[in-house]
Amino acid sequence: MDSTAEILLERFSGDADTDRTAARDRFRDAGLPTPKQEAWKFTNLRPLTQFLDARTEPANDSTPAIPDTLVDGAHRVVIIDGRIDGDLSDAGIDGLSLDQGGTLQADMGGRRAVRDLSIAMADDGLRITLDANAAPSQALELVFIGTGSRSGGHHFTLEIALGSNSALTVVEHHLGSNAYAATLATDVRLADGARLRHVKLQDESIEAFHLSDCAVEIGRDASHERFVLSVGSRLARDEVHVALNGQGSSVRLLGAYAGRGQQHLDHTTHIDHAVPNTSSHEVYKGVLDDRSRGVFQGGIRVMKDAQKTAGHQLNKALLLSRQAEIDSKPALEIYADDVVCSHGATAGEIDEDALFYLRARGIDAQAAKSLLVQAFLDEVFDDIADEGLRERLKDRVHGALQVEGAAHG
Amino acid sequence: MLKIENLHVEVDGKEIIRGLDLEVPKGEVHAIMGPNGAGKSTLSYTLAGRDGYTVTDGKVTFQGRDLLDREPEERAADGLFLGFQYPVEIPGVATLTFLKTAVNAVRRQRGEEEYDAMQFMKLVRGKAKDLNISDEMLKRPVNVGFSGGEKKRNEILQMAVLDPAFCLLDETDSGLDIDALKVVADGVNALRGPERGMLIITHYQRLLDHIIPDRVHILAEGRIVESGDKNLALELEKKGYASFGTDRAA
Repeated sequence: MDSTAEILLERFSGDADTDRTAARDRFRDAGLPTPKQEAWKFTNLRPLTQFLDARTEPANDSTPAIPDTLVDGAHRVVIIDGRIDGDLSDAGIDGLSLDQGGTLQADMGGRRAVRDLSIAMADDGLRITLDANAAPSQALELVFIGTGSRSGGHHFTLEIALGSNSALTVVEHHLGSNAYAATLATDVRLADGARLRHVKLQDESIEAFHLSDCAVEIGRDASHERFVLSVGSRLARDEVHVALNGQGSSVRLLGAYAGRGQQHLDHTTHIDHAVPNTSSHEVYKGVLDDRSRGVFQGGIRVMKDAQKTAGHQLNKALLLSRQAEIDSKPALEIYADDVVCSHGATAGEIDEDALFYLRARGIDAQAAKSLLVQAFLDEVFDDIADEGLRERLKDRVHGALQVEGAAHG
Repeated sequence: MLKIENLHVEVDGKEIIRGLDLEVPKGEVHAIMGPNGAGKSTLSYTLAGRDGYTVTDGKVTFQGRDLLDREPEERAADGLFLGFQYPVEIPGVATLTFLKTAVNAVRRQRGEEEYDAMQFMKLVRGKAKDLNISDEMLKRPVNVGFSGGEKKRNEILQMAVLDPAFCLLDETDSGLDIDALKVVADGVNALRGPERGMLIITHYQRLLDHIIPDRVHILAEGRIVESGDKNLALELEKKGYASFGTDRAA
């Protein structure tokens, strides 16, 4: 057991829950991942250690401000520093059950450090269950706020289970101030014909660490649309593992990210096509300025029986500075022969021809740059059906990209 | 209005414009004709302020003010408009958004009040109609998927909406069939006026059948080798560029 794991697990209460114990054991044996491991080649968690150490003094003490909902009329659950705040939560949606606490199954096969860490150290958890055939019109919004007033980081487990032919929109809004580490492990299970729209805004404090691991199992004719926008954190990893387990199931993974300063934004996805007639569509687009670094790792695996699979993956990065960096690693493993799969990765700079064209029409250099950058990203947002949500997310990323001196009405 | 004196321009260390003199008074339309490689596009990019076009000597004044130390966007606000030979495609930016951003950027720099959405739509709709540009086209991203003719009409629309003091048109006729050429020429002619200057750069004489110039200049190897009235273009069409080579300019 390495010293890091020892420090981290000091908080572990050693309760009787076998999943938590299993997660702890796995984490204790392996410790924090290092760049020597293939899955963590581009993202180094070493600086995270001190924020996970419960013996350090908390950096700050502040009262969080609760933001407006991202979706008009959404019901919400507010989670402050890893604990559900019942007074601030209002989640009475027909057909939807919310249960506090709970844990997740620890062993998902293969090493999943963030998942193990979250499960072992979870401060609280939430289980969301939607009845079969239910399709509430209201969205459920989960607001995760970090205040930096608790040492040792905060850790949460989330379970979303949709009954057959039900439909739900879940929005995650992660934000905060000061320095802290937040981890989240999520299980999504979609029964036959269920449909989940999942939108995540990662807008953590710029001093924070954000680590999330989401496992999704999709049943027959069920579909999952996931959108993530990453603008916050000094270091963030958004990891999604999707299993297309039922025939006719589909997944769309969309992501946008905007990095500035020294931010490190990692998006890691893995999609398993396990049975015939499934499809996946994946587009991630990022803009990286200053010395920021982006990571995209996209795995697609098509099993031997998974004929008629359609899998498409695209990662595009726009680099606004010579010091910015993107590491892109697509990995396709295809064991079936009747499939249509494609992947592409590009990294480029601002189109100088377009920039000059805009300037020749009177638009100053900074405003022209902003316009081109927004145009590059905006396409990814088109899938978000709720207009208010879409515009709020676009405004957020446009704000994050606003270059100094580019503020124009 | 536009005065170019002894202009020398280098691109990638190679001198393309070699001592060019030209003056276009306001109210006049001048044409520059020249063969491939004469420096036509270099001249238009230099006047519009593109990076990579290095002025090594000479001077350009626009409305009595030094043009060359101005940024491209400032030149646009000063009233200089370049119609591109190859209009650039900008995915993700709707034509209307682009037009509104441009018009208001120019108005702001001129110290004029910005248009609100209503005023702007009224302005654009009228001009677009004259150029056969549909609402559907205005919603599409700038020049993306536009035919050659649509791209050039879009250039003229931008020109009409921006209402510049001086229009510099770089091979506006290239890629146009005769019908499209006529629409574009009508659009340009509608903007002719006593307060506005125009410089039309072209390889072929045919555009000048539709936009009758006050003066015609022949550009070869980076300088003006011959100037005359509109008949010079006809003469050139008959004899070819070879008879107006550098030997006569020496």
